Amino acid sequence: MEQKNSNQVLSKGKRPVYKNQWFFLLLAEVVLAVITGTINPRFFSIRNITNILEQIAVLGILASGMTMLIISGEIDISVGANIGLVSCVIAMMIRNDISYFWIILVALILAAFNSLLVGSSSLVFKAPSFITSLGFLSVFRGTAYAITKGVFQTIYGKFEALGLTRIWGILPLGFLIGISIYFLAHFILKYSKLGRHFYAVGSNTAAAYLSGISIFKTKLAAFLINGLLVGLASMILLSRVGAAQPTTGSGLELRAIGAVVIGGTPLSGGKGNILGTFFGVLLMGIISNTLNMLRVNPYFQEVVFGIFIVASLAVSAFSAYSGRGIFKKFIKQSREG
Amino acid sequence: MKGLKLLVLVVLLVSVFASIGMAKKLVYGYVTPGPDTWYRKDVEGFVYAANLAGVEVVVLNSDYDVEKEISNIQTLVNMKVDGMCVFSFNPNGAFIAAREAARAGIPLVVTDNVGEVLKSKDPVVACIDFNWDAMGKDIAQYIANNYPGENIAVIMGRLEHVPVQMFLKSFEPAVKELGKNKIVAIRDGQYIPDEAVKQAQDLIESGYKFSVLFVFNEEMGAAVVRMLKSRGLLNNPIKVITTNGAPYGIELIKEGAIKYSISSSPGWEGFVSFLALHSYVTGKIKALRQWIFLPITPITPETIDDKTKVVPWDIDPVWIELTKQYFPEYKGLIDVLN
Repeated sequence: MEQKNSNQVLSKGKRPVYKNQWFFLLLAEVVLAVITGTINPRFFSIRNITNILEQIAVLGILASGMTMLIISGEIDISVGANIGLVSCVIAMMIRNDISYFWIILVALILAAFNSLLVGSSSLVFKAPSFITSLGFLSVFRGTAYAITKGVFQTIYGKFEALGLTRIWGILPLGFLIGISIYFLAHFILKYSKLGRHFYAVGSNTAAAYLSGISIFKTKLAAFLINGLLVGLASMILLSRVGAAQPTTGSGLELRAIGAVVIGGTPLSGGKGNILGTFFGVLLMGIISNTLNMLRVNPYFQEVVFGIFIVASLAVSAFSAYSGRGIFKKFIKQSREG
Repeated sequence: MKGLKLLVLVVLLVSVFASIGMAKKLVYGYVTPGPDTWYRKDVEGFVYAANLAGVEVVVLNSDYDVEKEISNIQTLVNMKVDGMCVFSFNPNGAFIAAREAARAGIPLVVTDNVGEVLKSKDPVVACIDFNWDAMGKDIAQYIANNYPGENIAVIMGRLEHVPVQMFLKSFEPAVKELGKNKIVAIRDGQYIPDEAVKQAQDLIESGYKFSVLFVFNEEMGAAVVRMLKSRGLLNNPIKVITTNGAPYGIELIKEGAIKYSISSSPGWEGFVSFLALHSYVTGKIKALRQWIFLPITPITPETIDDKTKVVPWDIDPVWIELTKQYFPEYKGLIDVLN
């Protein structure tokens, strides 16, 4: 029996590709793309594909940070408000013709500081990060309202490179940055000591502590990375739309968390990977684009978006279960008993 | 003698309290949906007029939360304010305000509700609105005159927003009736610039044939213009048309990036909302259920620098001049304010 268990553990490490959640997400995406492309062949045009990639860049960067945070057993629902505050601050700086060097620095430092505030208050007060981030959500949004007095901050004609540049006229720079972030996150999670610490503290805090891992430092590192990525996402978003207001980024936190969970990272932490998150983000981008490609009535788009998400998850879950033989086991058990 | 002293004391006290009562400053309450640019400017206009009149204003922000909006209304009722102005982001909020204000006997003015609250059995002093219906017709007419034969794609604000519905209700039939253009698609930009850009990109790539893009406000319009410009599609062939006359929109119109817009100043709207409320509270106008429309003006190269046509969003004395011109019923009140 012992032998069998150790074999199971070993074989889990070499799990075939088709038994991964991300594989079924990919399948769902391919099916969706083929159906949409058959109905409207323009779906497969280079311009449309690059549009989708550009549209998911910001969400992807946020979701990467969120993946590491959730794996380490934490969550931050103030990222949308953080984006709003950072975008407003840097938009105001751009309007005052401050050097881009300082703008980039301020964006990264401010976002990281905000994220660290959420994390440290959660760790120091031993309160769930869900609650502390809920509190800071109001602080960030309120600060953005106070400094802008609710006035829209436009930067027409300035700071365009990050969000509007297309390499060789095709590939959006924002997406390339996003892809680099996925690689970086993958490297951290899979090959670095810090990544292993994220999994360890997320799956069993007590065991991680007993094995000498600093829970405080590890979780704070997750918040720091999350904050830096929020800063980067804020710059790309501002550069893309050329304007900021306190509500900028509102709702992005839920989409980022959604993409992470759809990608197979459970909210309980300790598990998950960045590849799943990538396909979760891609699924959201494809569905959103599909609705327009299929010319779905705008009054029904929200409904159809929700149905697509649930259907993709169902396909993914059923396929994963059948891959693991859970259905066969269930049928066998019900026959026996 | 003792009785006389008591009488003098009573008379003195009564006169002191009466003078305090006479000198009592009027206090109005204002419920705003949230501190976004449009709403903020509306508040500024209201407070500006109140300052001129020496009236104190309590501004409460609902943060787009229906529950908070109701508690804000109840707070103002409990404070026993002398008058109330409610700018609700949902039709129901105005109905609740009307009910609560009527129960407490507080005069109420409702802003940007497209007159919906006038259907309530509880009387309100006035509804202050822009003529969204006229805006829809005007935009349709401009497109028919200037771009005949071209198809139109539309990116609106939130589809559940009453002014959005009112605009579409007049715009779509007007385009059909004029017969010069066709609307190929309507999308929801949710008043979010990023969402508007996404919708514009998808509209272009999904194969819709259009060369006129109407975007419901200039916040979204500016973001869409940025995207079209970066792809060499701005005015080649896609022309952008918006509404609002926001300061950043004016700049884009001057550059030719936005072809046409309609001026509607929230600041002036707030100013007029105050006058409607104050004239009722002070007994100068006794009518209830008034529906007051602020005029809209097209923004063209000829009108763009004329403050009486393209009304500023920020506090400006031109509001006083315009109010005298368009709302002579408030002339006496304005003269006192000045």
